[in-house]
Amino acid sequence: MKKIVIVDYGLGNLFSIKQALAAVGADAVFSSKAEDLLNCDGILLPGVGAFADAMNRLSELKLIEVIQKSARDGKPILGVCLGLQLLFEQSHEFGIHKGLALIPGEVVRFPEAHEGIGLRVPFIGWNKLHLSKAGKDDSLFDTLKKDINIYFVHSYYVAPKSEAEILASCEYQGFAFPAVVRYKNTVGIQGHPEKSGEPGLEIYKNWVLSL
Amino acid sequence: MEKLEVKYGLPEKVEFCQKCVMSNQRPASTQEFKHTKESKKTTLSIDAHGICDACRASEQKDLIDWKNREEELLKLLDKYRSKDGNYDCIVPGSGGKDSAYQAHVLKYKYGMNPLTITWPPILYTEYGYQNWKNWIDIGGFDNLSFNRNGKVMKLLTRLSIENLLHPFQTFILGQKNLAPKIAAKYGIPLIFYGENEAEYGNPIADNTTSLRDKSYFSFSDLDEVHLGGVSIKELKEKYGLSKSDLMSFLPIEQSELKDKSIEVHYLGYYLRWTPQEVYYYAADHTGFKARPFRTQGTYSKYNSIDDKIDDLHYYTTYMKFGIGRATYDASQEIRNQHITREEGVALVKKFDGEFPDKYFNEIMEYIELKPEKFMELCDQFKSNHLWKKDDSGKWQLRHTVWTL
Repeated sequence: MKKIVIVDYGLGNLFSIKQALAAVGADAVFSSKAEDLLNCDGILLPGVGAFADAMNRLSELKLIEVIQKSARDGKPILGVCLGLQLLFEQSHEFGIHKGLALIPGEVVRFPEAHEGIGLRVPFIGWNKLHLSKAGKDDSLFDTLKKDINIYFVHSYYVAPKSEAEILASCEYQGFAFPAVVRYKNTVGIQGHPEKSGEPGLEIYKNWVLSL
Repeated sequence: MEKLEVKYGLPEKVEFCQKCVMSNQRPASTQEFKHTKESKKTTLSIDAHGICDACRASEQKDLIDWKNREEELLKLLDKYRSKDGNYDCIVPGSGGKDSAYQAHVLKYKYGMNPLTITWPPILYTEYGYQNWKNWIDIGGFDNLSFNRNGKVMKLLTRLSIENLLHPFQTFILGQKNLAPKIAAKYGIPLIFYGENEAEYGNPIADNTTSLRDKSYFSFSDLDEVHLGGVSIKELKEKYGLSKSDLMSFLPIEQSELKDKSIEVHYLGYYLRWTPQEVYYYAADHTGFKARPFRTQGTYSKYNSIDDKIDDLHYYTTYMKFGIGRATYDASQEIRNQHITREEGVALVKKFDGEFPDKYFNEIMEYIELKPEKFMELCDQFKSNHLWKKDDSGKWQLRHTVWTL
């Protein structure tokens, strides 16, 4: 059974994620200890709330370098929601804040409006994933043949430096943004698969199987 | 600025908890048999940091040594576990997720011999009735359902709406008062309720002991007692009811309680209680099924679904206190970290105060109240410090969690 550490830094809906991982047959534990992160098959970085708070918490727990080292050593890392945003170099949420810099690019706010239609934030609701070519080939979506609808809550989105890293995107009132991103062994999902029913569990399952 | 009228002794200034979406207008549960038009409410306290008692109680859950608490439970159960085939505890409930969980863990995990008892809803929903049946048939329990005088029930329910805009009072009364009476009659020493009401914002001190305050379920002086906001004397004189018509709604008499030793406990004191997890447990073990559609006034499907009147109950809390069902649900789910406050605010904005029309006409017909009359009452029971009419003559809340 694959052992997954859900990084417990005091933010995020950890319990649902643990249940979801258990449902797809993984052994998931919460931890904020470096040794646990270094001795597992995969790291899941959850997160809800503000970017800067999350980075501060990770810094206090001395986990920033541990996560960066794990990524360099090729350990699979999955970021969910704010956890995805933390993987980037910096965020523009309430000023500019440095992230974990595992994926080149930054985190930006939805524009006020797109083609004359206001984009109210946070966006809360379900959204359909449009898979890119890379996405269609990625093991994350291997078993998902039909439309994939995932639940989202966010005001900011990630903008990777290279479009090649985008596995799937979504549209908010016609405004397209990256929803799933992969860079080497690091993957991130803007939405909440653990709150998205069957397709969400499939995504977790495929990630666990890839470890 | 003119001073706005404040009803029910509610706090004049409306505040919202910074952590959940509940406001300081939320009343704590009261002794229903003393409830009159003039009753002043004790309300949810929000501290200097803007956090409500219910959220504080929830934070304390993380600090509790649950293993220790379970050992306390085991000691209690060892003291009372019956070896002669008699019942050793009562689990009151409807077969909803909470009572299903309580009865099931007590019997099948801890080896107790519970008698489940049911004060049936005012008007069963089909799926609520099926859940009750599954509780007994799939879960596997003895059950005693007490079917009270339906004519009296209807009258009291109508009076509680007319006098208190409180359609759920007769149900609450029966549910609270039945268990001690059955316990006394059958000589069963232990009663288990589920979650402590302090979870939802009764004063925090409530939670430091699992023993339910006996004043909740006993009375010594009949003159103090009111049903549907009407004194017993008036119910007799004006409505021609006899004491025996009313007994099933009344609390156990203290004299009857005195020479009996009945302990009342909250299982939620001993076992960590997460409504969503309790739901999954009930679904797995007693065949519990969620409502097949979204509950009006909120977004959820899994709680308080067996009584058609329940939907109306939450509509009246919206009228009286500005707090609808989505506010209750979202606050609980935020505290249990299922959703964030942002999501909660959006859900409250979307669903709170939605009129529950699905069963409305059927309920009005059943209790013989004109629908227009109910709507009039809703206007009369609004407190001016919470509600105002906008330019088009529509009622609007003065303070909402999404504008603050």
